Amino acid sequence: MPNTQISEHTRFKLAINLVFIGIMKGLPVFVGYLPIGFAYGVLAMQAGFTASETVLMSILVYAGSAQFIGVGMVAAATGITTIILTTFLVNLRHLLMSASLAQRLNGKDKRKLALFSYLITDESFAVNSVWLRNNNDIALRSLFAVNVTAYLGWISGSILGALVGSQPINVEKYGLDYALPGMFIILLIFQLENRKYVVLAIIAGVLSTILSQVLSHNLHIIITTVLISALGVVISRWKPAVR
Amino acid sequence: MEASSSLIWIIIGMAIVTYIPRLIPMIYLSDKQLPSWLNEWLGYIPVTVLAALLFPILLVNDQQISFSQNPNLLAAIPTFIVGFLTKNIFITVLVGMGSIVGIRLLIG
Repeated sequence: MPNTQISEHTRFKLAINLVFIGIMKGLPVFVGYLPIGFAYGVLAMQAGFTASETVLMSILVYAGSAQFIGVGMVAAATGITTIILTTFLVNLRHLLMSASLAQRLNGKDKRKLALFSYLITDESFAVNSVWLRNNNDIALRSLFAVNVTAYLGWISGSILGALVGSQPINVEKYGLDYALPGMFIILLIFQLENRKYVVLAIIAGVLSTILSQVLSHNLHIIITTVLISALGVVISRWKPAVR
Repeated sequence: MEASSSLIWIIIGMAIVTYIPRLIPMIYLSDKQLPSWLNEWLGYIPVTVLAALLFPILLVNDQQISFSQNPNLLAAIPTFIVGFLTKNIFITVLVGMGSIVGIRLLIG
């Protein structure tokens, strides 16, 4: 066999390897999603969802905070239009994440990207962004594996929550409500490449907190992200050394 | 609560409006060459969006910005330290959950 040609078997092993690397990257998110999904499942059951409705929402919507808000609004008998509009606004930040990832996935198959984008979450986005920044030619297969692993964690957590959710459970007692901030903390740490990123993070955090007091529907997150990312561009044009 | 058939429509509606913002930039931007300032802007989004998501959770307690007796903020201190030291998602989340339980017991 000429050594320029890769055998079927080797190619298969390579593909499996690429998926495996992605699963390993996604595994911590899988584990982190279990308690959050669990908390969601419990709350949905307590709001009167059936177990299948609880899990269906995780499969179809797959967006943590929007699902918590959605459950709360269903429990409060909010109208369908308000619920859907709120969900749209709460999840609009994914627009920015999708744009940011698209820039690094130039030229890939659009049908695959369409499927890939369905699984963009705050956490999978953070993991994949760091990975792509450190290594420009990661196989889409590997990034997919990260997303699917995280997705399965969210669904598994929701199923566990739906199973025990008919009993009253205090999620705060076990610190389950801190899994999300805990995950944001470590994922933010991953993004802090140099001093400039630390400064941008602090400014964004403070602005977002202030805006959160006057805006609703997660708009503070979108406005802050747009403005402070622009500030980053302004700083590097104005002082190219701090890029 | 409303009848369950309307709940299914709520779920489907939520799914559609969640997917659209995830899908559209991916499809429209993945074959375009963007100007360098726009590329750079997109590159700052991971750090700014995560900070924008995290800080209000830590700093807002009972709907007010609070720096004292705020359990979420106090629990963030050990969580950040362990995060910086280990760079491990799983350990950091566990330390965060343990910290909040401990702090609630202390300042209950």
